[in-house]
Amino acid sequence: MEKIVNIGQSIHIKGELTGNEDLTIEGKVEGKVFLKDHNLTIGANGKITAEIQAKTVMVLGEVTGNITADDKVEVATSGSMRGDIVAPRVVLADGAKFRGAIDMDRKPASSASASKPAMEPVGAAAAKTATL
Amino acid sequence: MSRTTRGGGPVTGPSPEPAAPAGQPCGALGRAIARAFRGGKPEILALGPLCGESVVYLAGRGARVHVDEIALPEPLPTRQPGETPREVTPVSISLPEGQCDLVLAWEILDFVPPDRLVEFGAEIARVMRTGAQLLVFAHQKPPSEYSVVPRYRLLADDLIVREEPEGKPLRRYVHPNREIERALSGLSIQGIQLQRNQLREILASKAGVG
Repeated sequence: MEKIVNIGQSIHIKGELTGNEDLTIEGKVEGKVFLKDHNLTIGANGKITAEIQAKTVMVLGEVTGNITADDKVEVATSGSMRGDIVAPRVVLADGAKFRGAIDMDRKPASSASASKPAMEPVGAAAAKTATL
Repeated sequence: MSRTTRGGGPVTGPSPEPAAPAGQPCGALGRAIARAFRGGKPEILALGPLCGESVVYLAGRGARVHVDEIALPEPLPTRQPGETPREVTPVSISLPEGQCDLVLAWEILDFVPPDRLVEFGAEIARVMRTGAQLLVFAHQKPPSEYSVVPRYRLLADDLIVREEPEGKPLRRYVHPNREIERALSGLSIQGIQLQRNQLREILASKAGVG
């Protein structure tokens, strides 16, 4: 079974976070999160102010920033999201807090692409860079 | 609660599943959606409480859907003669001018005090591009003076279900047609249709210059 890395509640990361495994964030992250081909869960206690790119993103906590997912983004009832979502599959639970735009087209809209930076390449042995 | 048959005998077997909510037809919505999608990838703004299913329905059809649970304005404070006016929070939708092809305001106008209605209408008109449409529902005779802002679930382009989510009931106002028309003065009203449930279905569009 694949191990899931957990960023605990007391951890505060500023910077760019990249990786090649699934990740759960319960702490605070500011900057960028890139998890190519992997799943990201923002736990109920997680607070993210970042640009996020992953395979799937599950939001149970708070996110401020745009999310781009290759597969799916889900904002649960407890989740709060402020930013734009670009993903082929999106689930927004009733009761979730959401302010932003949703685009389920594979080709992002021109206005969306203009504001989003291109995805940075993630090497086979991607390193986690963070300022703790 | 025990169940009985029509003849009075007890019913055996499992309880029936709760019936799926029946949709209410909404021709204006169907027309507005059809027109919005005629131009390719429309930008749709959904105001009011989030109904994830409706947002995903429209996004899945190819629209870019903006969601804004806009803060409802308070009535203007009463001012005594000679008193300096108090500052009020302006109505604001966090979108640039002329962004949207369709605005779904649902019943939100009913929760805007009459003295802020023009300001609210102007802000909606601001985010609409020329030729864009606005769909509004306004009650003629609401069942009570206070209610929760409802949300609408789209079952199809012209089929909706009204739901009242949990929340704090808010003061509801009945705006006469002429007040709504005045508030939407930047738009041209395409039609006001009174439903059997006393809900007025209002479709307006932003006319171009010339």
